This record gives sequence, structure tokens and C-alpha cells, in this order.
Amino acid sequence: MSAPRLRGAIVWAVVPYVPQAPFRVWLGDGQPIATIADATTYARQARRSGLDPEQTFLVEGKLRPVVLLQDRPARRLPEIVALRMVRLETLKARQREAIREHREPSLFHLALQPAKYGLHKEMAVDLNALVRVHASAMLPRAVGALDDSEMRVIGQRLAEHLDIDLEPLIAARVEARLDELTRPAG
Amino acid sequence: MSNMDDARVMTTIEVPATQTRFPTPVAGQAIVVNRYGSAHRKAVIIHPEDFDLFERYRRIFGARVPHELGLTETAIAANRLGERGADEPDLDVASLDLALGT
Repeated sequence: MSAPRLRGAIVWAVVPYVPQAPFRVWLGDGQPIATIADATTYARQARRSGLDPEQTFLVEGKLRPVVLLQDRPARRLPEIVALRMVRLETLKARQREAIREHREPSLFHLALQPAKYGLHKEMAVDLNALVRVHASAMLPRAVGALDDSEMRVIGQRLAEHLDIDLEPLIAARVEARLDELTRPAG
Repeated sequence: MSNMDDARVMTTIEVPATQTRFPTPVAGQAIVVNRYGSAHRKAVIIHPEDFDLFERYRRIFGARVPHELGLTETAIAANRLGERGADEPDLDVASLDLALGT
């Protein structure tokens, strides 16, 4: 049986916030939570007194819908790259209007279409909010999906948002195509 | 722009810098003006069509500006709200029920 298509699917997932200083570290039962001011302090402390193989950081998070960007047909990697979505209701009216009118390239508008997206709130896909989600952190049933053309737009915009240099790839493809076109017949 | 000096795309002819009359440039051909023999190029003359193509390449593949510099206030505001979960004052229960199959 083939794996369900994940790319473009909207799923509910546990999404932790990006850790930021001051860091809170759990040291074990009965121990006070340690607070470390910043990454440099943490590194100096590690240099001075060593570190256990790993630490348990206390990180806040939330159950929220995300749109998955990858398929995992062979299920070889359990983590999937996704984009977080943002609800529009707490934004100002003029900001919501700009998103609806597609004047905000970072925010891909999802109109209120429960049958398509499975969401009962107006949202936008945030191109600046890339996250990785473990398969075990997602609810298995997708509530909706973006179609191929929507995913194509998101892919194009994402390359720009991530400052990915596509020049070598495009140049190589153009050159290969030119070679094909100019190759002598026969 | 690596192809600009690739013989498959553009041919070159070389002329010494002391020459007072240069050949008329044609499309697809670069006239290399040598100053001290072939190792040192003083100038390269190309046809206007090739120059236009070069300019187009420069526009397409020009210096990259970090995308962050173009972010709008709305994009930043939405991202900050989402990062701390402040965009969701309540749970979209109907959607969550759909995910749970209830």
C-alpha cells in the first residue's frame, strides 16, 4: 500500500517555539530548574565543567495546524519540513486586507474554505516560519490540503525567503537545454 | 555568465590595441583587444545585441539582496504573533475534531 500524500497536506501538530535565551534546563527530579542567560554563558559553563551527553530544555509549544512541504513515500525519515500557519484575526484590518489581496508575498492567504483546507478560521501560510515536525508529533488525519498550483507558488516564494541561490541550478538547466537544441541532428 | 567566453556560444577574434580601425562587431562574436599580446586583454567589444543579453543576465543573476530586507511590517507582525502562539486566542475546535475524526 502506498503512503498517503503528505506534500501540501494541512495537519495538526505539536509545534515547539524556537528556543531563545534565557534557556531553562531541567536538571532532574527534585532539582530546581536552571536558567542560563545566553548561549555564550552556556558554552563557557560547558567548557568549564563539562556537559552530560544531552540536556533537557524546557521549551514552550502549541498544537496548531501546519502545511507539510515534503512527501515521505519510503518513510525513511520521520521528520518532515513544514510551514506554520497564522490566524488573521489578531492582525489589524488593513493588514488582513493586504493579505487577502495577495499584497503580502510572505503570507499565502487561505480563504475560509472548510471543505478544502479543513480550517474554520481564516489563515495564511507564513513563508517565514519553517518548522520540522516529527511524524509522531502530528495527528495522522489531514484536515485539508493545498493543491499543486498553490504548492508551486509556495515553493517559488520559499526559495526567495530562504535566500537560496538557484542561479547554478537554472544556469545548468538552461545550458543543458541549449546543448540539446544546438546539437547537430543525427 | 560562464558561457560568454565559451566558444560554443560566442566566438572571439583578437586585434592588437595599436590597431586604429577595429572590425565591426557582429552578434555572437567578441572582439578582444590585446594590449601586451594575447595574455592581457585591454578591452572586449561586443555587438549591442550581445550587450543587451549580458545586461539581462545581470538583472536576473545580479547581486542577491537578503530577503529579510524586503519584509513588510505585516509579514513581521504576523510572524511574531505566530511564533509565540498569540495569533490563536482560542482553538479551532471544528478543525481539530476533523483531525481527530470525532
